[in-house]
Amino acid sequence: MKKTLILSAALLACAAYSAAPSVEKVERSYHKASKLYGRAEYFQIRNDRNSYLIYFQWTLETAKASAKVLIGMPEPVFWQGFISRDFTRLTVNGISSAGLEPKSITPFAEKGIAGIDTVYNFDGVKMNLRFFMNEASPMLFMEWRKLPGSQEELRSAELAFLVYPSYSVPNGGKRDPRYQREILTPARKIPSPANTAWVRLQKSDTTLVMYDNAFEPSNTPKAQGPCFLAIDWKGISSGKVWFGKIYCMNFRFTLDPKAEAWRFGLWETKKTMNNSEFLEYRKNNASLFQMNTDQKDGEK
Amino acid sequence: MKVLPILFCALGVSLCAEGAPEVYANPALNPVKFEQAEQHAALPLVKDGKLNFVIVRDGKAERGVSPRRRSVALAVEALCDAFERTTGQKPRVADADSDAAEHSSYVIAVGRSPLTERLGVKVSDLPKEAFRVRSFKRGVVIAGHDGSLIPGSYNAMDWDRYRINGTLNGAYDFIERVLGVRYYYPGIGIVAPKITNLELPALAYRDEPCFRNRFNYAYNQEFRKGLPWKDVKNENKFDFAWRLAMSTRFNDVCHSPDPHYLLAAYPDKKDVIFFRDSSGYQYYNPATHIGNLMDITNPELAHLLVRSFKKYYETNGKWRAPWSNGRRTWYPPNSEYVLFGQADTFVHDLISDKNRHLFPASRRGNSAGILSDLYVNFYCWIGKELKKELPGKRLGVLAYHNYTLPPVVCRDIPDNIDVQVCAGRIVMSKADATRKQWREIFKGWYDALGGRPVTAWTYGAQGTAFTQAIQGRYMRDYINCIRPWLSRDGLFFDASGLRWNFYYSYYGVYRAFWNPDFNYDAALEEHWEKLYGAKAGDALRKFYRLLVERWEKVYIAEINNEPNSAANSNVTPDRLYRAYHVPTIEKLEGYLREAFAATRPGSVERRRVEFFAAPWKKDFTAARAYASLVIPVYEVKQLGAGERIEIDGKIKENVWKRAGVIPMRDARGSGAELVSKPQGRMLWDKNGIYLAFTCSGKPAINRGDVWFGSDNIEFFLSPGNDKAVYYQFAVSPGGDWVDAYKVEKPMEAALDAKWECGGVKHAVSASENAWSVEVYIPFQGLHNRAAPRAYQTWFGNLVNNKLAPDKKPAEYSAFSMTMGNNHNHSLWGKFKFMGKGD
Repeated sequence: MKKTLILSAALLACAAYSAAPSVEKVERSYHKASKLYGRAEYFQIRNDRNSYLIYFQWTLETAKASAKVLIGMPEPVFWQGFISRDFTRLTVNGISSAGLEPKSITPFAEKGIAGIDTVYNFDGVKMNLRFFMNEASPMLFMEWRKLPGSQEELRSAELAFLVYPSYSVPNGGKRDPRYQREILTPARKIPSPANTAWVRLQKSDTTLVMYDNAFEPSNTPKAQGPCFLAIDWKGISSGKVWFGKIYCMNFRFTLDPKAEAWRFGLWETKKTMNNSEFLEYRKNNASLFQMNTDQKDGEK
Repeated sequence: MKVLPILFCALGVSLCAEGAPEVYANPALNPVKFEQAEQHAALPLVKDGKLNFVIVRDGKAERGVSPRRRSVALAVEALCDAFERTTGQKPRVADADSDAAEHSSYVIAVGRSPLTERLGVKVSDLPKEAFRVRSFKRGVVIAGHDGSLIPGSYNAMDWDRYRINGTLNGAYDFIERVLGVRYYYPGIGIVAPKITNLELPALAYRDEPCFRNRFNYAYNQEFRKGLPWKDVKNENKFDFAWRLAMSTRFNDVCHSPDPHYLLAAYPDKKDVIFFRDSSGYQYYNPATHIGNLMDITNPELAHLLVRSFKKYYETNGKWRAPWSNGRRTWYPPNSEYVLFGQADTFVHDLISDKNRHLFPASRRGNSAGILSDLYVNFYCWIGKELKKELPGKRLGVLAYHNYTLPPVVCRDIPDNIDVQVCAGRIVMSKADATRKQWREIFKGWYDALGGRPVTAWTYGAQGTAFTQAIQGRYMRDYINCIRPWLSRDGLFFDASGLRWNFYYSYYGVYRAFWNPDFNYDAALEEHWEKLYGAKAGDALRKFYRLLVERWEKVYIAEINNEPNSAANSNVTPDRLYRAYHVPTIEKLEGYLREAFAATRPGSVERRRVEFFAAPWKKDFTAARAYASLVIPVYEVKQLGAGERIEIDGKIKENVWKRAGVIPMRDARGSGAELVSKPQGRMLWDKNGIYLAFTCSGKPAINRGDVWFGSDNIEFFLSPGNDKAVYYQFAVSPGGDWVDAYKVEKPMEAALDAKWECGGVKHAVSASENAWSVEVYIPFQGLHNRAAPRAYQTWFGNLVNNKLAPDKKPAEYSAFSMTMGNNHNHSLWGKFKFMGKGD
């Protein structure tokens, strides 16, 4: 009996150990060839279901452009999905996070989550950007949260995402009539505008599956398949997406300045998936794609 | 039977008569005009190492002529020197009608003399400075049109550089062509092959310069105190060897009269002489040349000038107050010409109701021509009065700065006015848009003058060795571009005088002045081995070719490939260092190493390689430094609420500790250690910028002068990202202060040193071992500029100029490299105004 108990405990411990997410600062060489790039820092955040690489790329000051610190997600997917360089920016009181040097980038692992905390100061408005995974979900959670000690009030905030769903036609980023981009939400299917345009999102669009009907892995060798965004609309005033006969989807969320934090969930898979397979997986694992609305995970 | 030999002889004679022996038609030398030579046996002028001739000349000629105009005497001297170099023996010199001349086996007859008259060698029909070389059965004649032998050629008003030395020109040509001597630069730059036997076949040719103004005032400046090689004499004859002379009285106009001298001559005429603008400011600067504007809107000034000219001539040049202060004489009139030219005109409100018609709409905003009609109108006032008061005299004037373009309105220009057009940085001669602009300018002036050509004042690009080394080859291209409209009165090449390390570049210029069809490439090709030996010469040949290749295939090609390429004479660092990038620098360094390795230490070839290589290191360093240049960014922390700074020069407030140190480095990118440990810091708030600076070492102070004899710092600010304007602030440890402002866009204006920054505060603290300064610059003082937003960047720089105890520059450091020009804002760093709490 004792042996059984010990074995069970060991098994449980192993299971617990293997299920816990982890974060690690790693070495990579993405985008190193560019003369305009300075240093970069790479963080791998993983659990058993997925692994993401979040990286911060410093660009150099030039006569014509200011230095930036760009946030990219080159893994699990480099060429598609949430783009490998500069996939998200927050603009607070007119100041873009890309133009700021993060005050700190700190990996953490606690209470069943692991990720990185990045502190910014937007001219007196202190904010934290957290990327993290939990034990179960294949999503990467992203949270912006106000920090105490700000000298200024947050008067306006807008969050942007840039996504390349499925596949990009190699035509220098031009319009292509072959694109059949769509976004599937629990409430509706948002078809591609006839011409690239802004489409307003609704609060019922709590999750977005971004894909292309024309380009799928089964018919396009370099296509990756869909990617996914979950939105916690608490604290978000409005959202819109610019897409159509073009390779990218450009999201803008206007954040309620009075809220304390804003959360999203991002998902892309290394394994290529056709649209139906992706949707099927998501449907069969719906619980893994819920946003945790009590915000416990992300609280600092 | 007898007919055939006669026929062959005739044929032989005919062959000899029609062309010179091929060896004398050397493409590396001036292309002379070969003439029919008298037939004779070859002349053994040097036989078995012994001189077999006497130099003869008219010893009684040239008496009373100034030394540099004694063409015949100087020619004899040059020939003696050349033979001594080549044979080790000095020729005997005798009078042309002496026994020695009569009985010598062979003669070299120099200059016009009874002998040349008897031989029928005519020089009186030759143009000024032209010469003939003609052999005969007993020798060779070298004679030309010499002012020293023609009464009335010179007068007391002529400048020393006005020389008509035809025979001397002929002598140097003979020395190069027949003896094979080459004059590349003084001292070890003279190549004289050893001659044991010299047989001169029948030879006859003539030559004359294309352009009459070929002077360079600086040929001896660098070596005035001696040559850099201990055992080598300074011959100081390179003005002759290079035929540097003027045979025209149309001098380079320069800036004449000196406005200070003019005022000294007419102290009660200050209001006539100097322009007063609509705010009442009079453009008179007693301290320096720039900042004065002689009033070209005032016909009274024209009248005053003509009065001056008249008085000058009436006193035969003895009264020369507008052109001389007793110690220095500056471009006075001569027997043919009077001059008027003034320095850069940085005044913007010259327009008035009286002269509005002289500002045509097509020229408003044109930085090269906005004042053309205003100036030409003034010239016409002078010219017309000159015709009445001094008929026969000519007026030389400038087309320069913002009056370079030909006039639009004033087209009735008197024919006693000659124009010198200041246009053209010759290194840009392969840029299509630039060539087009030059053609338009020169043709425009030609047409405006009723079909009369103009002279040219042209420029070197002196900022780097890369351009200095190759620009000379482009003088011929420049000349050929504007040739239809270019007067034979010639050109002036304004390029730091004459820098002998770049002899191979200047050589091309002055040969092109003699003859624009001179084959510079052949001359250059010939010289590598002559000067450096085969292997080292080959390495340096490759060095030079690479310089040219990168310039033409990268720098110029980029300009020509621009969709809307515009003429631009400035050499920009970004393009320059794309052309001369690190891989190119490495190749160039490799060639220099090859040249060193191929020469023996202590040999003359090694010394020549050292001389060639001497100017390059700092430019290679600069190119490498530029290649690694990242725009430096300094984060200017924001003052917190309640934080205050007292401007007392003591830098005592705690908040300064929060401000980062502005990193300083050697301004030319050498990486040299900064012994004085210069440290700057900046802070800002919504009202303005605070700057603190410290520097160790005994401060050099010259009270009353920020610039000369004082250490100083210069602080530059250019708000925003477009460098449309910038501000310059300078302060010395003596507390002297300068502020200035410059507009760059949309149209460049001069640095406005009259501007003052309202509300600025500065205070200095100096001791025996250090000095410090605090400065406060309010944004409102910068033309009521709004404070920057958080995280916005402005361009700028902080420069520290530190002098040694002997007042020579000791240390020159900056936040961002300057490459020697503090105003070169293409290299400036950025100041980033940080947010609250940063």
